[in-house]
Order: sequence, then C-alpha cells, then structure tokens
Amino acid sequence: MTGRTFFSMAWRNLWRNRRRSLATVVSIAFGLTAVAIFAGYKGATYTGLANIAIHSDLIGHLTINKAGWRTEGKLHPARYLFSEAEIDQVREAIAKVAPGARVVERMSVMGLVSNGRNSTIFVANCLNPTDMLLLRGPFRGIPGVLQENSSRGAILGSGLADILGLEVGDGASILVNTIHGQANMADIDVEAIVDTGNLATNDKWMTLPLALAQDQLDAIGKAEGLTVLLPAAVNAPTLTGRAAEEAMYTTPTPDDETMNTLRNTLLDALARRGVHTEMITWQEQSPFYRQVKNMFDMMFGLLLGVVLAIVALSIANAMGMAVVERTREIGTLRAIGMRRASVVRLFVTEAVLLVVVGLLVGLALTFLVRAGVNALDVRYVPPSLSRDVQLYVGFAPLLTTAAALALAALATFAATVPARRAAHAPIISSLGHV
Amino acid sequence: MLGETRIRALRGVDLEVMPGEFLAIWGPSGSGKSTLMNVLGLIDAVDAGRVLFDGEDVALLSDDELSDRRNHKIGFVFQSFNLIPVLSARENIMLPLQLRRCPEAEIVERADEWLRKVGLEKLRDFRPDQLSGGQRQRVAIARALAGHPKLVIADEPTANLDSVTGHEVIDLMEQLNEETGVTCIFTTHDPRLLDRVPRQLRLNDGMITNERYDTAEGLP
Repeated sequence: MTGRTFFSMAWRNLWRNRRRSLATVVSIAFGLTAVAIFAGYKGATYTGLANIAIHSDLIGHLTINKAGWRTEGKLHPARYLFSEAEIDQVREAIAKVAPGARVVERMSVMGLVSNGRNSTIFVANCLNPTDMLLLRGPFRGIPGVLQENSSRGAILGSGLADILGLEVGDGASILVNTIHGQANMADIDVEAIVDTGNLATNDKWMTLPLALAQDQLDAIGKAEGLTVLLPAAVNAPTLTGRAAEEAMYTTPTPDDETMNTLRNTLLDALARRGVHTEMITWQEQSPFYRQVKNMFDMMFGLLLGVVLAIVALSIANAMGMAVVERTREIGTLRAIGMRRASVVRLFVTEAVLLVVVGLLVGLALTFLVRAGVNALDVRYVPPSLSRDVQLYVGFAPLLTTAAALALAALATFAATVPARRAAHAPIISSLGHV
Repeated sequence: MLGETRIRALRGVDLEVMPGEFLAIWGPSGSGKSTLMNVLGLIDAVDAGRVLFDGEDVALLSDDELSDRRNHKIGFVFQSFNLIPVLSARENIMLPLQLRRCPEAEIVERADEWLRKVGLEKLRDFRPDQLSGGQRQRVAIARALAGHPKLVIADEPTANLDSVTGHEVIDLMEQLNEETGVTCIFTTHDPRLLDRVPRQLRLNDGMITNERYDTAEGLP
C-alpha cells in the first residue's frame, strides 16, 4: 500500500468524526499558540533586558579592568587604574581583535551629594559625554545624555532628585574621597533627571563627566574600567519614539559564545602585550538579566510540559476512541492481508495529519495573537522596574519549531499505543466486535 | 474462550478441500461453522491438530506471513459485508491489491473488470452507505476475487439479505467459481441454498456429522 493510499484513507477517516477531529486540532493549535506566544514574549523580554543593560544602563558589551580589580580594587584603587599607555595598548589590541569596536574609558565614584541643606549618598557612573552617546547605540536619541561641552553637568536618578528636591538647572555639591583617601569636593549642575528604571538604584544614581571624576579622584588621565562596544551597535542608525522601543525588543545582542570567544582572544592578546586584565561580559554584569532569564526559562519548561500533557491526552483520547469505534474495520483490514505494522501506520498517519493541521492552525493563530497584542500596546510595570514597558511578543522560530516537533513526536507516540493494541488483537475478536 | 469458559468449538474435524471445489458448510448456530471458516481462512489457529494450506503448515508461519498468505491466496466475504466505509466501491475492490503493492494501472484495470463482472460499474464511486445490501455484498465478492485468490471464504454471506438477493449472491459465487476455478466455501443456515452446491458438510457440536457429494463422479 503506497503512502498516498495511507494518506488518503487517513484523511477521510478524520472526517468521519468531524467534531472529535476538530476538538483535537483545536487543542493542538491552542497548545502551540500558548507555547509560541510565551516563547516570543520570553525572547523579546530577554532581548529587551539585554539592550537595556548594554545601552541604557551603559554596561556595553564587555568591561575590562586590571587583573585583581574586582577583589582588591576598592582597597587599593590607585594600583588598579589603567594608565594612559595601558589604555592605548588595550585600544590597539581591540582594533585588531574586533575591528570597528570602540573603547570607552570610565570611572565610578561614590560619596555624598548635598543641596546645601541636606545630603545623601550617591553612586556615579562617570564617562565622557560623547562616549555616553556612543554606548547608547541605536537608542542615542533617548533623553538623559550629558551635554557634549559639559564639565560639571550631572544626570540624576529621579529618586535622588526627589530626595534632595533638585530640579534641572539647580546646583549641588558632591563630596568624594580621592584614590589616596583625601576628601574632595566639587560643584555640579543638574543637567537632566531620569528614571533609571530600577527601583534599587533610582534614588542613588548619578552620571558625571569623566574629567570631573578624574579630577575629584586625583586620577587625571587614568581609567578604572574600559568598556567595549561592538561594531554593530556603534554603526546602528539612531532610533527614536516607537521605533526605538520596538528595537529594544528586536535588536539582537551578542550571545554567550560570541562574548566568551571575544573575551578569551582579548585576554590572550593583552597578556602578550604585558597588560594583565580581567573581563566580564554584559551577561555576567547584568544579574537581573540572568535572574529573569532563569525564571522565564523555568516557567516556559513548565508551560511546555503542561501543553504536551494536554495534547498527548487529547490525541490519545481521539485515537483511542477511533480504534474502539473501528475495531471491526481493523479486523477486516487484517483479514484481507494488512499487516499489524500497517494498521499502526494508518492510525499514526491519522494522528500526524491531525498534528500537522493543528500546528498550521496554531502557527497562524500565533501570528494573529502576536500582531494583536503588539498593536494594542499593552503596558505593565515589571518587578523591580520603576516605569511601565510594552508587553511585546516576538517570534521565537527555534523554540516554536522545537515545541512543534515535541508535540508531533508525543502525538505520534500517543497514537501508537492504542493502534498497537488494536493491531495485536486477535482478528476474530476484532471482527466480532460490536 | 467464551468468557471464562473454555469451549471446544471443533472436535476431530478431518477435512480436505480440493482446488476448484464449491463447498457449503451448514448446521445450527453454535455448531462450529464460523470457527471452521476462521481456521480455513487463517484468521484463527487450532489448539490441536494440523492445518495445511496450499501445502504449507500454517502453524509454522509468522503473523506477517499469515497476512501475506491471506492477502495473496484467500478472499473473504463477510455476513455484514465489512466494506471500508470511507472507500468507494472501486477503492474497496482495489484495497487488497494495493496491500499487495500491485502496479497502480493493473489495480485500476482489475477493479473495473470486477465491477463489470458483478454488474456495478455504474456505482463504482459510490460509498458503501450509498449501496443496498445486495450491492454491498457484490462489492465484497468482487473485493474477495479481484486478487485471484485460491480460496474464497464466505461466512453466512446471505444472512443479511432477502431470499431473492441471497440466491443472486450464491448464483454469482457459483458462476465465478465456474469461470475462474477458485475454491469457494460458504456457510449458511438456509437449506434451500444447499440444493445447488455439489459438496455439503453438516456440522453439529463441532463435528462433521454428514457429508454429501452431489457430483456425478461422487468425490470431486
């Protein structure tokens, strides 16, 4: 019996009990849609968090510090700062390993900020205004960037500005320790107030010009860390408004493998030049990204498990009922010479057809739901964020394909069990079945 | 087995059927007719004794080999016709040939030829539920014979038909037996159908109690 004949018989058999076939198709379609939508949401959320970390939190793709900085840097800051010569060495090495990538010098400062009456602690990220724009990548149009000629300008987290009652244009003072442990004070001007988006940092965060920080720390020409931005982000066109928000969820970021390879190559290249460094990738520097990813991966696994169980039960029920209803027919087929394996194949073909139709419907439904949700611009405030974000559903082709294959495999297995039972029943009892 | 009770459906049956015979097995309900037909049709096995089919000991054949022997050498006509409901009359006739993987053109040609022989060429695309009982049984006979089997097993082929149609079906089987030389064995309750059958076996309580030859030569 040819595959075409099997296909034809299986297809017609599905139409014998339309309602049951429809119910099975619907359960498969809804199952795939649920999995694909969640996978798309999860993927878009990962991409969004990654872009926020790299371009909004300004951590870039790779952060380079002198070897030992992470454990000893706070105790002996002077020992772990890059000199101008070392910075040049790093720039040269990166130009060879990742042509087109850019290196941003940065310092971090913490201390007290005062409005003249009250003071509170702050943590400042310090970099050149032009480098700040650079790190924003395609999102450089988003407000909250230091002015290019600014020497004492500061960007404050909105929580911090609220604590001190500061507004744009107001003046304030900062008090920090130099790298040698002496107190140093400077005046700053509030250039912008931004919501950092993170509840934990919004009431402490400040961005200062690198030159001001170097002066305050008594570390002129030195840098605590060097941030690498890869060429794709450097050369990306500027996006604004809705396009920028959507690009947050869709602009791909370099994966673990790419970053680990880059890090290892750079570590070797710099070690050969006598510059011993330690590096962390953007994934390692963003614990929030990792935590959310782990949580969503777990939830996805749970959802997939539930969906697979529902679909397997649905297919097993449909095929089990079909086998019982057609026991006499199976007996006839066996009597006229159909082998057991062919009986199983016939029922499995029916299950596969149900699955294929269900998956196609599910895929179409996925695109419809995705388009609808994205067009509705549903917004929500995620945990630990201080502003709302769009509920954006992307499309995850790999996970969707994997889920579809898992559904197909499970459905085939679920159909095989009753079909094998029917094929192995004695022919005379099948023929005598009422 | 009947529930938990073990029933000896056949006892001491010693039967040899020669090629080309037209044989009727009759007897009351529960006499073992269907069991004997199932054994002859290789869809049931005996607990004791031997069954030789076309010279082969069927006990030595695997399930797949038994399926192949049934497909190539045996045609079945069932009391309830047992046509596949999703297939047309023509497709039902084609099915055993498709299982045998005959060339498609040959399958179609043979199916059309048998539709003509049973007088249903105009109803070839009709599904079983669109056919009368007699027409369905004709399709079943065509399905049984289209593969040129050596043996046709017909278990109560007229039981679900009125007497006129029943006689027509037996006429058809008789005619095809003469034309093709295929061995035909059928069971019946109806003694009126036995008059035209050259060899008749009467079964009672699983035993052959009477055997009659109506051929001029006696034994075929």
